Amino acid sequence: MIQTSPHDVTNLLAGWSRGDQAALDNLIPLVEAELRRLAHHYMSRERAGHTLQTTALGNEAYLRLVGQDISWQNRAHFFGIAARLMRQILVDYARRRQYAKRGGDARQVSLDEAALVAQGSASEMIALDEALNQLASLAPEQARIVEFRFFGGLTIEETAEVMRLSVDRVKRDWSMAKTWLYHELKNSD
Amino acid sequence: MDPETYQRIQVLLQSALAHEPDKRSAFLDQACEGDESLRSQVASLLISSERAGDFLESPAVEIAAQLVTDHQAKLTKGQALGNYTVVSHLGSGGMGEIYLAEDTRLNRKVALKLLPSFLTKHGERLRRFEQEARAVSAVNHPNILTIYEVCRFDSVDFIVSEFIDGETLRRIMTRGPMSVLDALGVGAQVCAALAAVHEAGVIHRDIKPENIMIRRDGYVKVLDFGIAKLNQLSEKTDLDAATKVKTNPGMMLGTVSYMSPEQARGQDVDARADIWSLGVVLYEMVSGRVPFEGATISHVLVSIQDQAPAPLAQPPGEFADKFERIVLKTLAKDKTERYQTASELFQDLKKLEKEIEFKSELERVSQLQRGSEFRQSLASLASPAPASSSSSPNNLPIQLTSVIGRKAEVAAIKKQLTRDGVRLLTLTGPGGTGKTRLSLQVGAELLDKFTGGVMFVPLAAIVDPNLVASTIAQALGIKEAGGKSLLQSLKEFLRERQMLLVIDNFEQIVTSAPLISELLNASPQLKCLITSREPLRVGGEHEFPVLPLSVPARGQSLSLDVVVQYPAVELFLDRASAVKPDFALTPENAEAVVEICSKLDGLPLAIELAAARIKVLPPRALLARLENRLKLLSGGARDLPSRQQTMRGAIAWSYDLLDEKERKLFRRLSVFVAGCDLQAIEEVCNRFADLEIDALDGVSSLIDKSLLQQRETAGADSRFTMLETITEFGLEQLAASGEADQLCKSHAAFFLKLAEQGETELLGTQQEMWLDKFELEHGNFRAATQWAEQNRQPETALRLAGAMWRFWEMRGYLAEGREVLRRLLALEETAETMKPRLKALYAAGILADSQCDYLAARGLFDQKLALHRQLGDKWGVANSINNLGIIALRQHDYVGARTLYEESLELWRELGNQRAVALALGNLGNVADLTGDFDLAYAHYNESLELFKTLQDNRGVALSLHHLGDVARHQGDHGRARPFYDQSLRLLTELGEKRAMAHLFSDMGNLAGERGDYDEARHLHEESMVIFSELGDVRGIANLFDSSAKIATSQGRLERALRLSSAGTKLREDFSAHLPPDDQAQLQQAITVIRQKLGEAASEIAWQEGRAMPTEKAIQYALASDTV
Repeated sequence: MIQTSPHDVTNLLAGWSRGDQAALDNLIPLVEAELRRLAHHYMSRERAGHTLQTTALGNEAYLRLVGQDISWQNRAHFFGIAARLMRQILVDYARRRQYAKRGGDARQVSLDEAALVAQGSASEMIALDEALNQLASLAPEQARIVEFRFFGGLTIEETAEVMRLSVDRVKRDWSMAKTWLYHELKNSD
Repeated sequence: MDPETYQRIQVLLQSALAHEPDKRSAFLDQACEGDESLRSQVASLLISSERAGDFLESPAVEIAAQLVTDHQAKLTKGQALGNYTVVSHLGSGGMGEIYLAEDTRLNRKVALKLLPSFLTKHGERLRRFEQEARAVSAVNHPNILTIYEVCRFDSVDFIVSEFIDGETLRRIMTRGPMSVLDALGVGAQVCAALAAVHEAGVIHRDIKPENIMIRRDGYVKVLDFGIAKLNQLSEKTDLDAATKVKTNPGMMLGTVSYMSPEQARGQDVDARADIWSLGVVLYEMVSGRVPFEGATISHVLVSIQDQAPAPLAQPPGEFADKFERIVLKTLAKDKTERYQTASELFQDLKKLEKEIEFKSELERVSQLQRGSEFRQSLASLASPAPASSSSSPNNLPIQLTSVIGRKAEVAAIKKQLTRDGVRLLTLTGPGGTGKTRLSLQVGAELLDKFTGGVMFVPLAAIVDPNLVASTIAQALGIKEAGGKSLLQSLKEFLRERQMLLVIDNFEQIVTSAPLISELLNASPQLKCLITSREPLRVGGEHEFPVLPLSVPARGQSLSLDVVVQYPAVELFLDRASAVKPDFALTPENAEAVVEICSKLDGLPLAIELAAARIKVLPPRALLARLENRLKLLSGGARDLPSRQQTMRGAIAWSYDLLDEKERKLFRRLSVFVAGCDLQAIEEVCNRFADLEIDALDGVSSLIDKSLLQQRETAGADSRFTMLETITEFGLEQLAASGEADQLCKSHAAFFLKLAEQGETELLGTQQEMWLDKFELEHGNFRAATQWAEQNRQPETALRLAGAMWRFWEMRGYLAEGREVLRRLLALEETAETMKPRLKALYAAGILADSQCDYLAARGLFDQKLALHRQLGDKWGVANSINNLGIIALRQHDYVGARTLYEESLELWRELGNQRAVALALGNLGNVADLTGDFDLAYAHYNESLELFKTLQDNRGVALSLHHLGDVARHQGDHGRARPFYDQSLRLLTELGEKRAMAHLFSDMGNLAGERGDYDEARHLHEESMVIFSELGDVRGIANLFDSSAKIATSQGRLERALRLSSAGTKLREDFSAHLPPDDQAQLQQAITVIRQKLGEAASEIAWQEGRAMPTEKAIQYALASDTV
């Protein structure tokens, strides 16, 4: 397993923020591995009976990846990157999964519960991604709020802080974005 | 849409949301200013905003976890997960992938089942599942898949369980419906697992064929306990609860079909839900489909809650009915009406399984003993052929050779027989035309058309027209228990059966033809295929003349290809190549072969006899010798029809070709009736060691020459039989040889010896085997007795009859036995016949007693007593007095009985016969018990018990214990009665004393009934019923009807009581097995009381219903406690 060092990540993040595409290519697998670990950690925490604190997730990923000594500016930047990365990775998974289900191994499509649940979330993930792109063309900030909130796991307050918006504004936009995305997803088919 | 519009919509939406819901519409009308498109967009978003709810509120990482782990959770060969190394992929289970792995630490094979992430995410659930898995594993039941551990390694959660080398039930079911017996086996094992686990407080919740595995050794393993529960929360983790795939058609259909109504309604479930699901599986195993079907989940759910399952399309029969009853009880919509525990269901499944196994075991053993002569015993009235056998019941002997050249005939006869109007078809033709063979072939090919079976009744051994009915009854397994009513019970048996009777060799008893008409009239679905040299000439008869095989016309020049197509030539070639494999038709021999067939008139039997000689005689030589013989013969037997002359000629020719030693054996063999075994041949045909040929060699040679037939009887001795046509010739030769008398004498001596040996064996552990042996040799016994009677051998005849009585009594040949004994006892008395006369008197007395003809019985025992006194035979005197005591007791003359018993006891004490003393004490105990003097009864029985113990006579000990239990029961001391019964049962089981066991079970059942434990009573009565049915003990069965009626009365189920009483009464009437007058009066009184309570109209209906039930139905009815 690849050992993730905070230093690597910080450098890569810096590189990516400078527009270095290769940095992103190297970053993705690192974040992916970390997210996977986090996801399992998240589950095992719930298994142990702890109440889930969604807000902690982004922070946790951040802390693990880049260490604590990071400026506020970088922090906002990082959350943005993390949320976008998460979105990219998940949509990617969903695409691969759907491909696998449709063409890769047709015989495997047993209509059992597990497959269907995953199948369902995979296609929804892709639809969500497409709707989110559309939203970005109509209200880019709302789309970013969704990224932070949904993909980054930040709270309203944290989102407001990172985006330098008022809490009320974030609340209002978040509500509108959700409604619109929901409407798009439900009425698209 | 553009950003501005979006902006505008957002403002409008948020303003609208600020209004009260009922004001929003008006607000929009005004705010949109007639922009309909805008208005509708905002309105539809309003709806979405209400519905969006939790949408996107849970962070994506949850989905991430799922997608990431699901994606990741594919194991590869050689991959190590802790101690486990993946060996191969086993398949995709309902929950996840399953792998075969090696446990490197413990060096064993295990199965790894990956848990999907949506389960593992719910830690609390998973933890509970682990707990449950541990609880289930702690039960440590052989029918439960053992879970070793639930663990995770490298972010993969998996269950480690025992590896099962086998298949899922689902897979097995894809090969087609299973037999009831197999389904019971699987069902009972699943049920055992459920019972154990329910007790541990765990519900499976998802019993379905996918979760049931059958190991190669037949062990059933139930998988996935508790997983279903784990599954329930899975939905919560979805991106959005409203978009769940729940309504996806087809999804979960597999699982939904097994849901109980309460599950379908989303209610809480308990153990009874598992019982329901198992019921669905039971149904599906046998029928190949689930009981509640539907195109969509909701259709299925509706069906589960509202519809009754379609009847199981099973071949009708008692087992299928019973099975269906069990299944229907598991599928009661109301869970309080189902089996309440898995143990209850298990017991019923197991019991039925045992019954079927017992029945097929019985049949197997019977087949062993009786050769292929299948006989359904009365037991099979209660339980027809096991549902597992695919074809209808039949007793058709297996034919070793194929039917040659008869395709057209077989097809024509089949066609005619399956026509509606044709119910009696007679195949006519001279001996040797192949009628028998043809009828057997047709019977075999029509098996699937006659669900009631195809039964073969050979009449060749019967010359007495009076025995036709009993011979048919015997073939069907119907017991005689009073001569007059046999026809009646035969009719009753046949009434509802769609059966084909193949009756062979009717010509000698054509006067019995009206009997066939009577049977046909009484049984609307019965058909008869009869072979006879002449038609029966009764109404409705259709005649099918069986013509000889066609032969090419003489002088016709035909190519070989054409010649071999003539059936006669085909048959000749077939049989010839059987003895001389390289024999073929050539241009040189073709003419001779055709000529042989032609000379033999195309008669199959004649052709077979000729062809059998081809080994030593080439066709031309064969033809020459045959011509001579036929010429010779036609001189002497001009009065016979020409074909019969030909047939006789062929047999005579074949006989001539035997050497003198073989000829001697052949003609001697004709003395047997309906065949014999090798031992009989050696002892009868070679009694004076004058055969000059080894019996086995001779027999083999005769078989080779088609003069004798061998019937293999799996495991048992081979049986040798002769075709009727050939027997006739053999008997002529025997008479001509002057040996007939001597042979018959030897025959009678042999069967006398066998009968006397069997008489004692009939009380031993080999009882059933000997009963079957007697049945098999019944024809020989009858012939021997008849010969002895007609040839002034009264001693032999009396001894034979005296030895046969136990068989007659046990198998219910009461009328026949009494008639034979009556005739023999009327013969002149001589000094030699004294002893066998005494025995015959005894036998006649007992048979009379069996028919409740006490007057006659008493007269016979009196006669016997007088003779013993005359002889000064104290033992005989004591014995006769004892028997008179029994008759007195039967007539409820208690004072007389006691006096007689005491007298015989005194005598036996004088004689020092301890065993007899013990028996007499027991009899005295009976009197005391019946007169209510329980203390005295105890004393007598106890004294008797101690004596038997000293004598180490376990049969006696068991009897005494049974009696002691009776006294305790009659006193109302149920707690004391049971241990006596139990001890007695143990001994009887060891001894294999079936009949005594049946009586004991019956009393034990009565005890349970008196205690109010009606379920137990039913079980015990059923045990009893099975044995009585099997032994054909009509009185036992009728008494059980009374017992069941009694129980019904105490349950307040008066109509049931009446139906049972009337069924019992009818059965006794039918078999002239009357109740002793006092018992009858008692029964009558009980009936009167019920009738008064129930009212006359209702009573009469119930009474008539009971009478209308055929015996088998009544037995079923008596055993089904839950019927009204």
